[in-house]
Amino acid sequence: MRIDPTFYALISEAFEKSLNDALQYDPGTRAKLRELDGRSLAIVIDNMNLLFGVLFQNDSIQLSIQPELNDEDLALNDVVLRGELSDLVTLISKKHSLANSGVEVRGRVGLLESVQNIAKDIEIDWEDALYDKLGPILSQPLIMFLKQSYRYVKEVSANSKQIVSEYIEHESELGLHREEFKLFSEQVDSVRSHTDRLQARLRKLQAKMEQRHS
Amino acid sequence: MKNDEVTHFGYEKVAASEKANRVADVFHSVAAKYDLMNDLMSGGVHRLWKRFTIESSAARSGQKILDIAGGTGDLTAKFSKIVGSSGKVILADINSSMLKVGRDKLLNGGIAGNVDFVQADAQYLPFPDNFFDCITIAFGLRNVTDKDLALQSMHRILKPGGRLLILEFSKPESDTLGKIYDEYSFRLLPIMGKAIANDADSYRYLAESIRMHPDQETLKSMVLKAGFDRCDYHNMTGGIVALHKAIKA
Repeated sequence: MRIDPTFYALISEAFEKSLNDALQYDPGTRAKLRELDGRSLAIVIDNMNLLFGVLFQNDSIQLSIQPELNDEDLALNDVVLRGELSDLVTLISKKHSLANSGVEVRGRVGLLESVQNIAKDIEIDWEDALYDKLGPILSQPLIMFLKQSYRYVKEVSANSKQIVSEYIEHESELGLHREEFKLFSEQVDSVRSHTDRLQARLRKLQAKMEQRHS
Repeated sequence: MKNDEVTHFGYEKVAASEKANRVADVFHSVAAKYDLMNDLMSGGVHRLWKRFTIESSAARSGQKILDIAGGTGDLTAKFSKIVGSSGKVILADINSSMLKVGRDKLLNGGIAGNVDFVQADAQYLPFPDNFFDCITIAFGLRNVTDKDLALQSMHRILKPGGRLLILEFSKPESDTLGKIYDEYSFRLLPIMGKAIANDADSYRYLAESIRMHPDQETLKSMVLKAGFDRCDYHNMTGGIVALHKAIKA
């Protein structure tokens, strides 16, 4: 299905604006971005024939989406990340290493590292942003509410893992304790190696019998 | 094209020598309300069409860019930020009223230093050979009297490897959309033009000039004939607008 480029322009406009608006409340990141002024990186999704461009301009970021791939456009970028969508998503979300990721990198890998470091340290002052957007009357109670919600969610998520594992172990007796599980795994491994050996001997015997009959 | 040859001014046939003056009158008349009318007529979508054009330009810091028929400077403003202090953007327009509106708007917006304003005819561009990294012409080519001559002129001043981007109204891909679009542009546009800019005729000309403009494939062949190495186009909003991208070898 062919997507109208007007839609791509809308998406890149929306992302670019949100990103740069948010960066207004993170002077530290803006200062680091200035060091990348004029640099650009491209992410190419081969199976979608799409090129996502990121151009660093002074302390802001310009995004672009191009529904075509050609060598001229790629050559203009300092670094190009190229692969299938699934590989790129895996690399960005889970893996930290490019090796065996299925993603090809061309150009200045150092720029990629700098971008990764900047992204890791982003610290947007949301309180200031809300204050600017909503004013003091609305922003204060909203900030209080968000802070309390955040604390609650953090506590619940920290405790929930322990609560769930204790419930499974003791209350429902569905699961095993870590040590019990370890012992069980060792026994399974031992049975597996015994059956492997037995299978090998049987194969050997079978081969001998076939030799005698022939 | 010789001056005594006949060309189109919308659906009307006029002498080639007369077209430039008639087009000039249209733009003198609409210059003051040009941005407002563009937003109203397109529902703001013209900003997305222009954005896609800028993204397709792959402009970079330090480049020299020519924005032909730059009008009120939408593209120039964005290019000015991209090319930075080491680059240069030239906003060219044949119409002094449009150029004045564009210059005032950019200066009031703090965009200066790397932008020059030139009153120039797209058919006879007053720049050296192989000079620009990128040339854009947005919603301007259909008003040019001799389009072939203008394309040759653009080819001459573009550097080898440079790109030309032509953003222009074109032919809708589907017949249904074409019919809706016809109704809109021939009935509603002149009414809007009358109500906002007090000028129904200019907006009637706009609708007619769009219909007389070459379709996507014809324009592509004209671009190639002018000497460009490659030309591809993207239809936008169902083909109401097309962006042609050409590379000079």
